[in-house]
Amino acid sequence: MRITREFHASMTWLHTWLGIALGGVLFAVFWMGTLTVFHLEINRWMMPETRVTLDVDAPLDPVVLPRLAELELDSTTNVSIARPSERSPLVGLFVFGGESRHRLYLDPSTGKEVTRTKTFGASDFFYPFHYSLHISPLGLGYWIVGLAAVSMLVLTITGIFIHRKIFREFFTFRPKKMLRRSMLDLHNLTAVVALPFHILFPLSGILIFALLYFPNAMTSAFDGDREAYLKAMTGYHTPEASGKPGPLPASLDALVARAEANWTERDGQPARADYLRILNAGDADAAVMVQHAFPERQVAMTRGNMLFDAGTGAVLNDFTPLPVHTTLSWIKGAHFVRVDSWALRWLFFLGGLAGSVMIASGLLFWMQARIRKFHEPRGVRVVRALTIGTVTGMVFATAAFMVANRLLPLDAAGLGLDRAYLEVVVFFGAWIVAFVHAGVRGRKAWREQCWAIAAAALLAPCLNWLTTGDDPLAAIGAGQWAIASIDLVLLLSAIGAVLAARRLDTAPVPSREPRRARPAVEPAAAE
Amino acid sequence: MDWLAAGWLALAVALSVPGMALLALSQTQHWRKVGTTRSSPRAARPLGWSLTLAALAVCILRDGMSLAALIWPMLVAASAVTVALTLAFVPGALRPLARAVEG
Repeated sequence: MRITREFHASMTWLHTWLGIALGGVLFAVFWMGTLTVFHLEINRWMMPETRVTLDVDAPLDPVVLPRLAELELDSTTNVSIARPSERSPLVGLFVFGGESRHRLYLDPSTGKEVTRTKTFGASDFFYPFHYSLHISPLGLGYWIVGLAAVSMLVLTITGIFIHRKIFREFFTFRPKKMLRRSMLDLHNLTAVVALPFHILFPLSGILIFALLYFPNAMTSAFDGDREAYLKAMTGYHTPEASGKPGPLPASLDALVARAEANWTERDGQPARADYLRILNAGDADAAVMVQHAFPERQVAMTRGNMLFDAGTGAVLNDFTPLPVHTTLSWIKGAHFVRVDSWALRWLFFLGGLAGSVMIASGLLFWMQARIRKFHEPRGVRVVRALTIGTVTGMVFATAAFMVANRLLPLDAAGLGLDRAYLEVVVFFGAWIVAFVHAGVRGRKAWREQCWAIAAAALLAPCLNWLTTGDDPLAAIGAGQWAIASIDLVLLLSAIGAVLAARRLDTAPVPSREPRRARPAVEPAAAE
Repeated sequence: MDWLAAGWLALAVALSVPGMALLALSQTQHWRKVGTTRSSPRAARPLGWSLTLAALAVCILRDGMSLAALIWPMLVAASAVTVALTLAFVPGALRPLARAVEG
């Protein structure tokens, strides 16, 4: 198939306009996704009470059962228990449905409740931002992100067609040339070297929400019976409640041990249960589901669950995913990267950063290609302000969010909001300020916001050391590698932001109009 | 700290970065920055591929096929970016490698 000039031009047109239309959303998804790789570690940073190394294999019964005995449980109450892990050291106890509603975090050794700093942290702010942009009405956020993911695939393919010298320029980066050239080099470099990543992630992202976009698969295969679908595909099944009250299970640890033995034998490698659910907790027919959601040495997730009768311990259901389910789980697992591999997590973090740089440099290149020395159309100025606000503005807002986390007092409240929401107000406030600043300052806003990012990224670790005493050496001494790493990455980001600001400061201004734009400029210059 | 895993990873990096560097140097525009001859030696490209594929073998030995399928392409990408930045800012760092291939 020959790539004619017309085909190349149409690929360029599609790539350009799709990139401009969705570049902002794509940057948000990539940036928040990059942060989400380490969402559990960022949680530790934002909630200093959780910077502890605890005995994550301590028995659950002495911790959980006394708590549950204190609560009012009825036939419709469900209890969710998150077992602690190295990355998430506290036992999570969530009670919902029925009369009560509780969220407790407990020390796994002593059972004492740990009062965490009131914050959404990375898990409840960055993570949902990544997959839904926090736009909940009608689930619109999921659809916008889905559209962005599909566009990303189109952008990647059209990009391959456009970039004629894909092998010749594989290692090419010319930072000292005009900004337009070096931005295009950077865009091509970050796009081409991580091409498998840029295809895997949007594709796996779409597959994760596939049933949201294509519910007909479930509707037609199971005649719309959601219960039947869930039981067949995930093993989730809530047995009928008898309506009569009943006691709590005698031992959760015994059920966990039986489930783990079952999975260890099935898989030939040690298995550890991650989540438990007590269904119809106060009922005589209560059941306990033990889940193997995040295997440590496998990429695929959700490797099975077992349902036990709470009273007799009889096995009500033993679910193992089918082979086709396993394939899908591998693809989704590649996206979630819950497998226990620090190498993979860091490499995907770098991949996400590369993707963010790819999008930002693409937008910057497009802007530079449209600079006119004498006459700047209003449309270009508006698009530039929106672009700057979305790219450097969002990074600045993120740094401001973390600074606010360290500055706000523990009992802060105001505007009718509690501390967690106040941090979110700071994020969106800083973001809005960035848009306004970009609108007012025009071209200069890029480097000024880079300086602002550098300042905030330097302030955050300093505030961490001041407010918690966990400077990197102390943190490493206490075994808190995550905290030291985050502070180090923040410092490196500050340096990177300074280098970017300086590069943008000294960018040579084009002395001639870009060749393509010349015909449009002549009439204006003649005025 | 799993020293064995760290060692395998270090070995994989030690193979893929020079592997990518050799593939870059096998291209004339990059060779001209550090090499003394007009065009790069014929051995550069096969040697570069060999080192890169050796890194794949190390990744598979370290983590098995499933994880290596995800780790190795990213390692290659990171190595390629490292080489590109080296060529852009400190090309002299690749001179020893160029000498070794010439000889």
